[in-house]
Amino acid sequence: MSDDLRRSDPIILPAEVRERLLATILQRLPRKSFGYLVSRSEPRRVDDFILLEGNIRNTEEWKGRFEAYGQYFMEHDDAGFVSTPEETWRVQKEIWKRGMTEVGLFHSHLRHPANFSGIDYDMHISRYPHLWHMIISVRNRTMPQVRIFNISSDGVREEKIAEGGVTSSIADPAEHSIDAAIAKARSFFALDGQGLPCLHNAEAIVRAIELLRKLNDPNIIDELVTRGLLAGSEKRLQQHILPLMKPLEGGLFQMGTATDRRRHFVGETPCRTIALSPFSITSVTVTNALFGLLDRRRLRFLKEDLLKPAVNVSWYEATLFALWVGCRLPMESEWEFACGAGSDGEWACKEEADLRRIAWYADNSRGIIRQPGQLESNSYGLHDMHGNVWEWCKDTYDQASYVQGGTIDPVHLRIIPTDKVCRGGSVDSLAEMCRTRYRICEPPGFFASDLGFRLARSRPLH
Amino acid sequence: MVNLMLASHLSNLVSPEFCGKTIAVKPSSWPEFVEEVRTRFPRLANRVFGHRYTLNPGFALVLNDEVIAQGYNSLHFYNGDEMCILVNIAGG
Repeated sequence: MSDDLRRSDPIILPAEVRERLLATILQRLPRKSFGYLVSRSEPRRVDDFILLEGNIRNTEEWKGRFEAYGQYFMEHDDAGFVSTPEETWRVQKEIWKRGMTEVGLFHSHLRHPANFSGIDYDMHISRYPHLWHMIISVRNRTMPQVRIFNISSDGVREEKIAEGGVTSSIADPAEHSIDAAIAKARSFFALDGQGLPCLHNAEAIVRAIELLRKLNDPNIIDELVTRGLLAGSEKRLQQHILPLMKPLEGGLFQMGTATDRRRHFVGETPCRTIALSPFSITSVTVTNALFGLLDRRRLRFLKEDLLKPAVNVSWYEATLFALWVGCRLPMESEWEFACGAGSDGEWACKEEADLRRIAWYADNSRGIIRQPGQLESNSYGLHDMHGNVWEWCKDTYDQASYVQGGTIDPVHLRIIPTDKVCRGGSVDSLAEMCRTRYRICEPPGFFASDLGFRLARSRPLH
Repeated sequence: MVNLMLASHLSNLVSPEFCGKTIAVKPSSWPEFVEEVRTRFPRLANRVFGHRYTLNPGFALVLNDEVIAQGYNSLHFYNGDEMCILVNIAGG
């Protein structure tokens, strides 16, 4: 089989190995975990993992090398790992003795998403370019995220992962019935005396809305959604959201990163000319006080937290809130246009040294999420596009979407349960993760203490 | 003859066809070993060796089951020795 064909095959990670690996990593917290992934025969199958315990990252020989990567590595001496030669040798002998081959490496991220960073790239490419690299993020310990990357001098690509068994269908048989979909929507969209959904399950509600839209019956949409679930959204929009919105004219802009500048960044290439229609976007992220209009539990938060960004919000919850106030989440293209604010650099500011004027990130945040709008805005009047909290976008994530996608108001929407785009970085992010064009994704049901959202709205053409 | 053992991710640098883990080399000293690897397996040498006869950071030498942390420059090798070059795994 050719290399190219092999590369399109998913990497097989049996559920039993995955669960055992995650249990081991969670049990070892707050320590970082790292080690080898090994196989009996297939280079794209994981049969087992071997954990390494010794970490000489903080020895005189290595500490400085890590700290050269910035403030984050000075403040967090648990960020980074280097195995000891003695243990590496012991493990190598064990691999040979068991008749296995190392096919990949793994390590856990305690605070960051499961992304592949510059230091990961530098250390990987100089040592073992023939192995792939699994990152396990435990920033939400109840929902660890596993991603595998293929690394070469041509860049980094995320690999698909399969369990190696029969893939179960995500379709609900009842969803094929129009009557069943409408009946389900009626029950899910019921409102209480204050006009709030009785059902505290944003995923069920958002999926029901999507199903109704697929039916393409304007009368049903009007009855159940516009005048039903979302009744009063225009009033909420006028009262609470429009004062926060900045109108942007859109137009042509360069989205993505040129291929010769891709380094270790995944899914950012090629750079394309995108045409965007006019839209509006909130100048700040949604706060707990604002989100509390829909989720009253948030109003019980301490006063200082009420004015902080609403975090621990899933994509479903963010989407439902956006609809409920007459908006939507920003399309990824809109988000990038708004963040870059006309700059062709890595950030809206000219130099990385200026980033601390407009962003709370690892170099200046001390890990504390701040009230939105405390720092300077970008030239479009938008605050905290870089840093503070990651932000959900409307789009489904596809690392190939820049190659295959459209160029006029592009938005990539697929079946709901697939990963959604997150942008901007957070207080724990390195400057590279706060870049205008930096893309990550999370499952729509995922939530994290540094993941929030802002709102957008289309505007009519003048 | 010295038997040089390689982990699979380094043996890939010897040649695409090489699928074993042991290569016979015939140096009597470390500098001779480096020169031989540079001549016979340049891709492996580029990965492993730095300036002159140094190992790149993160690589380590094992001789007869003993990790040699320092002083490998003055090593002498004998017939039947088993040598391995290791890579410490590292990341952020």
